[in-house]
Order: sequence, then C-alpha cells, then structure tokens
Amino acid sequence: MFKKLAIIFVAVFGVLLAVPTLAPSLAPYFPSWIQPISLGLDLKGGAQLLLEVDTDTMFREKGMQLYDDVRSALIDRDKGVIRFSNLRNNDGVVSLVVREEAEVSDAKGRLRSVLGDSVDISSDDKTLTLAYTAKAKEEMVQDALARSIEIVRRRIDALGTKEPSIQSQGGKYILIQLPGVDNPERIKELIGQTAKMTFHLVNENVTQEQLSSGHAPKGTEFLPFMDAPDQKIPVYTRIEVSGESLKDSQADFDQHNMPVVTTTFDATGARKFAKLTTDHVNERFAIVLDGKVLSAPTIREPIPGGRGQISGGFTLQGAKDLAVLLRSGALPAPLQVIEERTVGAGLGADTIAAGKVASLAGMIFIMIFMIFCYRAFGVIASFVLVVNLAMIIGISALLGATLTLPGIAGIVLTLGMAVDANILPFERIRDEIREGVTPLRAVEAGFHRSMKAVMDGNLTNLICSLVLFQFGAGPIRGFAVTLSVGVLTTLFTCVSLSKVIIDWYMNGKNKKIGYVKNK
Amino acid sequence: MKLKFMKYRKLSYWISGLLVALSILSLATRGLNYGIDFAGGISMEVTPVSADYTIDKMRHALADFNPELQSIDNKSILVRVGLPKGATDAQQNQRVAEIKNILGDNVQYSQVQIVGPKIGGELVRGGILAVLFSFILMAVYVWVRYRGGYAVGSFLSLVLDFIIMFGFFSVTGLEFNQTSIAVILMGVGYSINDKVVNYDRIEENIKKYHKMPMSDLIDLSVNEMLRRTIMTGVSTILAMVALYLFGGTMLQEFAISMTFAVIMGTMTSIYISNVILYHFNLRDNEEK
Repeated sequence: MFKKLAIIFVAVFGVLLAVPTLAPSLAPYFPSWIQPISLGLDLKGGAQLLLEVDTDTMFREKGMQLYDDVRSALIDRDKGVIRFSNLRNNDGVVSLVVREEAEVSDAKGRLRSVLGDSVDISSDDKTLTLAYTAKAKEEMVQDALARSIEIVRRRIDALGTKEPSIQSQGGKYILIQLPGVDNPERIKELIGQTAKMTFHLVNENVTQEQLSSGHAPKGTEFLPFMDAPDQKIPVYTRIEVSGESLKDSQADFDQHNMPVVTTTFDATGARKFAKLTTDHVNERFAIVLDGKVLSAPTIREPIPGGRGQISGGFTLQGAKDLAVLLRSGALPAPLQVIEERTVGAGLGADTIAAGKVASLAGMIFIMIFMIFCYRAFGVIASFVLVVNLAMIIGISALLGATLTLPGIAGIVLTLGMAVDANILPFERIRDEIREGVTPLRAVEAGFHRSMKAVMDGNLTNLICSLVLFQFGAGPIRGFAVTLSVGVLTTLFTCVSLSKVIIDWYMNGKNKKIGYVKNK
Repeated sequence: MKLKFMKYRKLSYWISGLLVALSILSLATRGLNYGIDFAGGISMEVTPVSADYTIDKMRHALADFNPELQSIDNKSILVRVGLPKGATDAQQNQRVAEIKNILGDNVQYSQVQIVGPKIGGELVRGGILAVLFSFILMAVYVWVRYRGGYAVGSFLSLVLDFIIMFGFFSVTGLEFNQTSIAVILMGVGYSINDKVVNYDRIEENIKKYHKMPMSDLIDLSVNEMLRRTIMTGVSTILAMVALYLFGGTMLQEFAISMTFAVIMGTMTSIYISNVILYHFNLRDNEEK
C-alpha cells in the first residue's frame, strides 16, 4: 500500500514539474525552482559564438618575453655580467652559448632563480636551451581562458545584452550565447580586438627616406595609423605608459564638439604620464592600440592630473566602443571566432510550433497503435505515456537542461521506444494466459518475468545516452540529458505506474484480458 | 508462427557481408556528405525583402563565392558556401563579412551558421570515439549480466549496425552532421535494447529446455519474441513518421535516418545477433 502511494506521489509530482513549461501562464504560481524548461537558441532565437584563444600568438609573445628575461638575467648590474653569444628565440625555444665553460653552471643557477619552475633549462656543453614546460604552457592557456572570459563578459555587459551566457567549453574554447541577438557583428567587432593600448614617444630623428625604405633603426618601429593604414609613423618600441594603468575611460566631446575618449590613469600611471609629459614638452607621443596608432599629438604642456584625451577622428560609436574596450581591459591573447550560429526569433517560433505538433502527433499515433493492439491495457499504456512525456519535460527542466530541436526529436523517439517496456509485459501476459494461467496471475507473472529484460534493455540504452553526453558538444548534450531522463522516467511510468493502474483496473478479479483471443 | 531463422543462417551472413562491403565501397568512393558542422563553411537562410530579389539575382551577385542556393518553401533561400581548402578562421570571417555586404539590405537573415575549419575534425573524432566507447561499455554490461557469448554476439552485430549506418548516410547522400552522430548512437541504443531483450529470452529458454538442440532453441526464442520485436519497431517508426510529417525540414532527415536505424537494428536482432549465438557455447552443462 505504501509503495503504491509513493508511486502515485512521484507521478503527480513529476507531472507538476512540467506544468510551468506546458502552461506558462501558471508559472507564477510555482516556486522559483519549478520553472519552464529553458529553450536553446535554435528555439528562442539568438546568436551563439564559439571563440578560440589564439594560443600561437600568445606563446610567441611569451617566447619573446622569455628571450628578454634571459638577456636581463645574464646582464645583471648587481650580480655581474655572464658573457654569452648566439641568443636566439626559435618559436618559443630560447638558446644561447655561454662564453666561458666555467660560467655555465653559474648561468643555469641564475636563470633558474629568475625564471622559476615554469621553464625547462637544459645544457649541452656550453649551449643552454630554455623552453616553457608543458605544464606551464597548460597553465598559461587556462589562465588566458579565464581572463578572456572575464574580459569578454565585461565588454558584452557594457552593450546591455540581455542574459548573455559566457562559459568555457572543451578546455580551450569560449562559448558565448546571446538570446535575442540576431546580428552579432558589433559584438564580434568588440571581442575581435585585443585592445592592448600603449603610449610611446615618436622618434623625430627618422628621415623621410628611412621611413619610405621601411628599414627602422634599432629600438624604433614604423606603425600605421588607425584611420590611414598607408601612412606610417616611427615610434620607439619602449612603452612609456601601458593601458593596464588606466582606471577609467569614457566617450566625450572635445571643444570642437568632436567625439573623443577621455582616460583616467591610476596613481602609477598618472605619475608615469606626468613624467613623460614633463620631460618631453613639444615632442610627439603616439597612442598605440593593437599595433596601430590612434593619434600622435604634440605635448604642449605637462599633464599632471593623470587625465588624458584621445582624439582619432572617431565617430561617436567608435569613441564609445573604444571606451568600452579600454575599460574592460586588454585580452591576454587574440580571440578567433571559429563558429557562429544565429537564429532569428521568427524561425525559432516556427520551429517550436513544428516541434509541438510533431510531438503531439507522435503521441497520438503511438496511442492509437497501442489501444488498437492492447485494448484496455493500451489505454493504460497511453495514459502512462502522457505522464512519461510530462515527467521528461519536468525533470529536464528541474535539472536545468536546455531544450533544443534535436532534444524534441529525442523526446519523440523516446516515447516511441518507451512503449517497449509495456509491450514486453503485455506480450508475456498473453503467453501466460495461453498456457492456461488465470488472468490475475498472468498479470503478476507477466510483469515479474519481463522485468529483467526491460531493465537490461533500458540500462544498456542509458549507457548510450551517457556516452553521448560525455562526448557530445552543444545541442547534442542537451539531447543526451533528455534521453537519459527519458530512460529513467520510462522505467518508472511503464513498469511501476502501469502496474499500479493495472492492479486497480483488475480490482483483484479475474477479468478477461481483451487483447488475448481465446484459443 | 514458426519461422526457420537458423536454416537460412548462411544467407543472413552473406547478405550482411554484402551490405558491409557495399557500405565500405560507398564510403571509400562517394564518402560522406559532410554538413557544415564537420566540413566547415557558411550556411545562411535568408528571406528576400522584396519579390524582385530573386534566387537568380542572388546567384549572380554571389557568383564569386560559388554558392549553393536552394529555395525553401518558396519563402526563404538557403545559401551555402563551402570552406576553401586551407582557409583560416580569419579568412572565413572575412568571407562572411563580404557576403553580408553583397546581400546588404536586400534580405533578412533568419539563420546564419558559420563554422571554421578547426572545429569539424575534432567533432568527427569525438563522435566516432563516443560510439566505439559505448560499444565496449555495453558489451561489458551484457557480459556481466548474461555471459561472454552474448557480449561477443551483441558487439559483432553492433559493429555491423554501425558500418551499415555509415554506409546508409554515404549511399543516400543525406547530410552528415552532429545530429547524424546522435542518430547513429540512438540507433545503436535501440538496437542493443532489442538484442538484450531477445538474449534474455534465449537465456531463459536455455534454463527451461535442457535437451533442446541449440539451433531449435534459438529459433523458438526468436519466434516467441518476434511479435514484441515487430510491435516495438512499428511504434518507434510511427513516432518517426510523425516527426517526418510535422517536424519541419530540419527534423525530416533525422526521421528518415532513424527509421532506417530502427529497421536495421530489428533486422540484425532477428537475423544476426541471435543466430550468431549458435557459434558460441552458451550452455554451462554441455561438457558435463
């Protein structure tokens, strides 16, 4: 008796879970943890971007940094200079030859203490080879991924997109989902920029001939202007002030009513900026963003307050975007959009409508088939099928699974296969009655004897769904959750619930079982 | 109902072998019609703003990209542009921008999918790995719950299912995408359910009829289960018919390939996974 009540309770509860999804107008009457199932972007419309952190570029930069670190560690004013030659950076592997054999172990020790455990140092005679360890590289990637997600979130939040979801996927990708966005171009533009800003002095000694020949003197590089890529300007590679010292930036208008970006430095940045503008009055400095010069104004007077203004022929939109980029910080490495999927809201609505009709039609087909073949028992099987559908939706919603178009297909498929767990005992009952067993005992034996087959068949099926979940990506994962839930609800409704209802129907009497013909 | 499955055992093997050979031949020559999920590329569903902007005009405007255009329900147009060999993600994004620029305000976008060159290979590898991994897990399950012979029997027929399913995608030229991997796995799920249910009956009959020759016993079990096997198959196919009729274009290919998977799984249950047991020693007491 207790078992029966428990089964009925679970069934009612499971169906209740689905009510907010099936009848959204009733959702406000439910507690916050019973809410409609969330719909995938393919159903509600929106944009999805998959980004990859450009680790090649990141490692190249790290390699250059390693090169610099090695050089400054060996040419140390306090500890003395260890002489070396042939310092090279070959794709992140830095090598050098120490001049005196006696200094090799000294050099190794010093590099080890400066660089720490993240670098492998090996030596062959007088040649030292240094490279980041695999573990350190992995940590760099994870760190870059985490920081990129944070920065991308800040940039997207600044645009006021509703309910964006930004998460890492597969250990190296970033998945961005933007419900309701049907043209992600502006967002792509915003996250496609590294937004690394630096302030450099302009090298005024470079002649026009040098500039047109393209051969930059040591410590100088020729950078193109942002708004005129053909025009180049020679700047010192040394970074005077870096964008990391920015505290705030806003879009504004200057005295000529042109859009500009105002910047505010933090204490360190302000001090550096004040020194730069004091020491170099009447010289030009260049504001460089991702390797392009935004503007190169002449310093008229020292700027002590740590506040600056960047003008670069911006449109108002351009100024706003740059302000957002500077506020949210520079990405540790460039991001590449490797996948983009956009579904318009109209198409999503059509898809949901089609999915609803298809599920309903599928249910009705199966019901007619079951009732035709199993009469009264078919009606019971049809009833538990409805409970099954509601429970799949309700429990998926409870687990926070997302319903996608493949997910709807999966549910319809699950319903088609679910009746197997009814067909097995029903056929067994037929066999038992043919062997002369009374209907009441046939029902008992039918359910009991088919139990093992039902369990094993469904559990092997569950293995399939779980593997799909483990290996699948994106919409397929949601599909796998729905299928796994479906296996469990099928076992519950077709085995436990059907039995309770059939017992109630038989009412302890040897009723004739409609679908078994007399011999 | 008494059908002699064991008698035509050799024929089943020949037909299966033939299907496998055909599948492999088709996979080797025709290959799979990889969808954008795996091959990369651009796929856009657009609706022209005015009737003047016809599919021919669009084809002309996009001629440089060698696109594949297809009209859907006389309402919208599906534009597909493949990924050139060796293209990078940056180039791919560039092409998207160019295409959007050309189409401009003439169309509204109801769906845009852009997949770069990198992601596809990983998905294919992941998918195939997933399927093979699930085979092993299921075989282990069957081994633990029943016995080794059944595990080998189910494993072999699942591999057969698997190859022929791939062959099906190759021969029909249906688009092979992430959903196809799901279909193959679900087909495998259906198939293993079917096989286990039959094995359960064989095992039961082995315990019931100690003296019956193995080939008669298998025939008897398959016949006993035949009704159930067909009923479940029909019910699942009915669900797929509903998907095909009402689920819109996107679910039609799912419905077709899943229906094939169900028929396939049912056939290999009846003709292969059961009869193959004949070659394994399933009785404990045979040597006694």
